[in-house]
Amino acid sequence: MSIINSELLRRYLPWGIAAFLIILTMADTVVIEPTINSLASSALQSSTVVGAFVVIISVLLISRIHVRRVSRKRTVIESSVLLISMWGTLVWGFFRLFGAGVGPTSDTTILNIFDMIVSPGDSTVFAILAFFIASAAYRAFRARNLDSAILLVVAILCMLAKAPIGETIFGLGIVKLTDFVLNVANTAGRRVFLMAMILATIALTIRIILGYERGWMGRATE
Amino acid sequence: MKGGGWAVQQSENKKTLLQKLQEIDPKWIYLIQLIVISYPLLYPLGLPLGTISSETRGLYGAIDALPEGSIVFHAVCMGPAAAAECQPSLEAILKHDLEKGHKLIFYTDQAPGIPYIEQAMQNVLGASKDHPDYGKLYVNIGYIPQTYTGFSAFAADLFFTGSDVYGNDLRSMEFFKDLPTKTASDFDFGITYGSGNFQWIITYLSDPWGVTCGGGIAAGIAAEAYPFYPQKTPGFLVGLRGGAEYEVLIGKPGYAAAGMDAQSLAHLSIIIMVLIGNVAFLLSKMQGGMQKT
Repeated sequence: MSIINSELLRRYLPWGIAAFLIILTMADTVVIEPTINSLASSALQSSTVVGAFVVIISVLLISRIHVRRVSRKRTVIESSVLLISMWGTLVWGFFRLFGAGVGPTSDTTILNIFDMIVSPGDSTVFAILAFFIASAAYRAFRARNLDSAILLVVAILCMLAKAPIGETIFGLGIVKLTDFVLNVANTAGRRVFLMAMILATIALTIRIILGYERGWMGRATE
Repeated sequence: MKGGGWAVQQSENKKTLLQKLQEIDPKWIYLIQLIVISYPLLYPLGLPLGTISSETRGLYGAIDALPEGSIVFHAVCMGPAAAAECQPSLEAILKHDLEKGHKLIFYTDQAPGIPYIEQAMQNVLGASKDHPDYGKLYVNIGYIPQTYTGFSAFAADLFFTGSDVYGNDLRSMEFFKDLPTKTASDFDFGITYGSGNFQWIITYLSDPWGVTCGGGIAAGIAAEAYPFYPQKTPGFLVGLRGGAEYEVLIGKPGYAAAGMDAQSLAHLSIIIMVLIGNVAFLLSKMQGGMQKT
């Protein structure tokens, strides 16, 4: 067995690194010790740099998927548009950066691509939601039982109170009722979720440190 | 086939009004929504805004109480989807900051957030990198990848990125010269914008660095912010309505206030449609029950 496929590299090294980083980051929040604080700060900065490299991998993976689709004559137009747009923007960005010293935040072509294509496109998709929600609410939002009836009444109350017309028609009472729903009922429910989530995160962290949780390494949990 | 088509036609004819109401073609709903949203945008109705919420008043009060020269950190964590709701809030708060003489530092956790910072700076300050006070009163850090870890690294060392979004060296900027620790604890207030998680600014800025934080958040995630109010945050702006309320409080009604009529009618039309659908559903259910008995 080569060293690359050894148990040490595949299992113990990632676990050791993860456990060390978790303990270091946790110690950073509770201990004021220059060495630990500096090490933890470096670890966080390194992770951001690693994150930037992930973007490169993502671009390569997306390109591979869509090149395959084009070569197999599936979704040729859509994949071609995606590849040309992505690589065109990327190459132009690099060309301007290294050729003219103009960064992507100052380059008018890149900004125009965002202003004229990305922004209107994304906004349109989001705006269409209003129509889908209205249609779905009309056809599917039914008081079939007590639970759905309560949900229906609360949804109507909140929708009315969160738009000026609710107070115009029904007065301040509807606003106070909605404030009660959001500040008391919603807060109580949300806090339960938050506490559960935090406890689960702590439990998961302990399992990673102890080596019981290995799903993040690409293997099933023992 | 002809016989089948005839049978379907007959069954369609036999449908009662209540059944037809429940199975209305979505295109009619889309058409109603289009009219209801477009009309007030073209011809404003001038509906009163109503009572300003305590969350908006809380945020306004907290920003208003900051002394001149306070550093306000703006985390513009939004893309085009949330911008329609949150950009007016950002601009309204910036106008207030400008009035109060606060120093502003901008950051985003996503690349599409950069143009919105630019847009807000252009609209409110009149310029971004070419502003005479850029580097003294205003700094745009730009995009830092890896939301939480990226922000944590920045919070621990404000010079972490080395340069701002335009490539200017941060260490040479007058903005940072008098900061005692060069960490996030030098900020006096933090505000997050967008449809992401409101919790992160509390967890990664407010709690570890002792910075009071608020938000200008999309209405869809507003419910997530309430558990932190008022103990952990003095207030936040909920969607376009929050922005409109803030515009009224600073005495400068703008884009958000103009959108309130459309939002009112859109909400009202959805409620009326849901009620019609439910009345038809309940009546047809009752009719079905009576026929069985």
